[in-house]
Amino acid sequence: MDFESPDVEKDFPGLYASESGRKSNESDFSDGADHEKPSKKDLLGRRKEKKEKKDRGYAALEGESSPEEDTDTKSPSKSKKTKSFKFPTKSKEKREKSRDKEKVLEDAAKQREREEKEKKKEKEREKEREREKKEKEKREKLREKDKEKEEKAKFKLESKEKLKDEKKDKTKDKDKEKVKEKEKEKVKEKDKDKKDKKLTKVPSTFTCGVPFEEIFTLGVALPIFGVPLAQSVERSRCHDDTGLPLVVRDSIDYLQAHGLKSNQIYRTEPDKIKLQQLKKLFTDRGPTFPYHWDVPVACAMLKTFISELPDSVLTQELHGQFEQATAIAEPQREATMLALIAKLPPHNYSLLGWLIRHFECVVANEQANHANIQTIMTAMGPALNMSLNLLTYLVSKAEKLFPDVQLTKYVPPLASIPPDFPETAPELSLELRKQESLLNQIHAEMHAGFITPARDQQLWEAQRIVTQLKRKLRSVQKSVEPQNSLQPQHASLDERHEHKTEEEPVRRNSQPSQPSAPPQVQPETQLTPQEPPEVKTPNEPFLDPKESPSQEPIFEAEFEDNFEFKPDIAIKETPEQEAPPAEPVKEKPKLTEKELKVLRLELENAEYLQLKSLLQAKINSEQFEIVKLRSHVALKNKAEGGQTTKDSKENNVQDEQELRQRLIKENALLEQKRINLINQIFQERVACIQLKIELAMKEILSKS
Amino acid sequence: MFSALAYQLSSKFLEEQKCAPVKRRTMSKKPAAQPTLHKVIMVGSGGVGKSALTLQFMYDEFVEDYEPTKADSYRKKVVLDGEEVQIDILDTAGQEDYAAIRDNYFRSGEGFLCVFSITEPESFDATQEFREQILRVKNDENIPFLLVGNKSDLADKRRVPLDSCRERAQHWQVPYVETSAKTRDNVDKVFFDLMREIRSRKSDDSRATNGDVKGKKRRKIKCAIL
Repeated sequence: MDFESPDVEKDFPGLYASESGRKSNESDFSDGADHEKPSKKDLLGRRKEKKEKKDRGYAALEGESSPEEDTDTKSPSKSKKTKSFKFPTKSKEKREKSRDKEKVLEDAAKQREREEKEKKKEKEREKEREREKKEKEKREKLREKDKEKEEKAKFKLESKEKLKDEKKDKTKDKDKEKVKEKEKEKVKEKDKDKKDKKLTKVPSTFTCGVPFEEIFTLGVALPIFGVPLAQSVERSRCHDDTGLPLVVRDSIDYLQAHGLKSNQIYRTEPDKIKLQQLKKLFTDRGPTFPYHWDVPVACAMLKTFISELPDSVLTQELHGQFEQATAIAEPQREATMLALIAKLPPHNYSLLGWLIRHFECVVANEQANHANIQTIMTAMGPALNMSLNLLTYLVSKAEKLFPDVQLTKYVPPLASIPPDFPETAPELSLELRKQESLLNQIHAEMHAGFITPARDQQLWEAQRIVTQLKRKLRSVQKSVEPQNSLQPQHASLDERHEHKTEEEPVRRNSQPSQPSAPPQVQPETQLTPQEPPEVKTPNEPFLDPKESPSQEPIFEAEFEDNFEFKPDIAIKETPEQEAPPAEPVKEKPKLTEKELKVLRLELENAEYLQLKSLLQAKINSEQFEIVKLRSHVALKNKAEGGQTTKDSKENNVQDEQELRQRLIKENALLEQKRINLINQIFQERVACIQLKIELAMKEILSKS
Repeated sequence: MFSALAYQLSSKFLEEQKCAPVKRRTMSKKPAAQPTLHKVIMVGSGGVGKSALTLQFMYDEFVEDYEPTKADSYRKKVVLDGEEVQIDILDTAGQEDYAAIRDNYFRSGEGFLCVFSITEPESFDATQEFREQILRVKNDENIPFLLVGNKSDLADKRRVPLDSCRERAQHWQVPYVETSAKTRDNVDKVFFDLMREIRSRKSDDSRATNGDVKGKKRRKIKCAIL
């Protein structure tokens, strides 16, 4: 019993990796990954079951394991006969045990009660098995829907596929109804279970009565594999502005740390089970641990992710041009390549950059790992959809083509407030940026309707860390300010807007002899080598993630990606802004025009960043409102379908069409609303931002 | 230099990562080991003093400068009637800009301090809306809730009559308290009153769901308090 206690499991998640995956709330989502490769999963599933059965042999008190359980993870095509791969018996047991704990002090009367309950439980268990069988069907169906949604990014509901899909839904509607009823019964029967049920069941959102997360799971509704790159980044990103999906970053990080000297790299086939497990973890946004990784698995993970992207890394439009460019003679070739690379969308740019720089490292270690470009080509070529020539060229010129990509290990945002909180302002603001990014992601997920106690907790935790960071940052700034009136003000302003300290203008200011010639000054200052390309245009696509000032252009680039209307405005604004700072510059020679511009751009950037996250949240919520509506229609269909007999198919079709039309109208309205909203907000926001920047600038100038 | 720093951080982080989830999970698993946690949410229009109240309660400081809050969260250990508990305070934005973010927090809040400024009738009117929003999200008429009239130190500028405040509170069947974040008047009281409400609410809930035996136990505790 001690063995199985929940705490032990938490301490050693690895021991229970396969099971804990099932128990946690989010594990319910995992089916998404399973369905994608049913055959593999099949195999994997069965093996796992066997393993777990053994484990249970010791732990199970009542020997509830039944032969049906082996069918848990079968392919969706057989889903009618199968069940979801949760472990009813297991979780039951757990529930019971945790209850036991609560009742340690209680008397014998309780025991009688428990015996009764166990009888009830036996019944319930059967019901639950049935229920889970059906839940799986539900999920599968929803995944289909979701896939469809991905394909038609703009929710063109007019398409006929929708209709078809809904018909399909109908066939399973009745089952769903039963499921619901059963659940109700269960709740009545056993109020006690409620508390512990959090493990498997999740409270509903406030907008609809149906437990939302039971229908949609994060991994299913917001997959990260097989969706456009930008979406994948949006859903599971590194919070440090590299613009990489977490799965890619983790894989490359692992290979950089452990793979470069290994002769397995890009050569050995991975352990399929391990690969699937890891993929599932990423899909469910679960944490990974070292034992999940090895070199072949990391390689395969990269490969899987890239090959499942709907579009080539080089993008469909540019792919041909890239290949053609390899045929050009040398002097022009590099220029052409650079031009083509600059045309890549920011996410593609960073993905390609990281991959190529990583391959460069692999090849550079050929002595140790015996992997050359041919080896990489064999492993990754099909996924990357590149010719050997092109890959060879990119890798050999990696440094020139991606000068600003630095392979740095990802440091995720802090999960809790550590005793040794970062002390310096740059560290604090760096962490603050990460936390804000994390917070935005949590908000987006919650807006999408994925509300679990765990996510709630995470949200409060992240918010608390943000608050603490802000407070600390403020106090650090205050302590610095009295020492030097000018320098810290620069710093404080930047930081307040969640930038890393912009040390450069500060340093420049400290050298009053050359105040107005920043580019020349730079070599003399103690800047790190990465910083010189600092005087950059806002349109530069992607720059080194770790160095402070370069963060700015990345976001500019992101804006281009997300809101096409923004850059124009941003560009328009810049010339206007040059006018006001010009005057003070004359009065206070310490602040060059350039610095002011940089400062202003930074302020602007920070403001736009905030705006972006806000709009993103709104867009997300609108999108998921639509998804929710669709699920409601499906449920309504079911309800009506339950009432009418099967013969009245014509009526059903009519109803369906009506519903569909209503939905189309609703969605069109929603879409309209969303667009209006965004426009309105944006216009107002731009005005606000301008005012805020004006204020901030005035403040700086008056203080300096 | 930066990469060195990054690596230092990362190695630290790896340890963190290993410990943190464990810590957090055990916490949620074993409420006995960790003091009970009450989640309080501050709502009200912009500039009424939600952050001021929070900061006064948390750190005994009064901040004169007004800086709009987006969202801030604090945790503090306090002794509530002899029992050590933790309070999580979420300070929300008064501005409508952040309403979308606010909603996510409302859902997980266990008690609400609805703050307005007695010098600002508009903020008093807005409390109606906040109340409705909370009831909508929580779907619970009896959610622990306090109506708080802040800035009681500015009595000479008072523009919301005490009677209408009391009337509204009575209508909602919630307590009404006047505070001053500046003088710290009643600041602790509102937080502790709310926590008591949350606690009694929780014990009611657990009695309802956990049957009689559990209920008896809780009731005993409650009697001790009274």
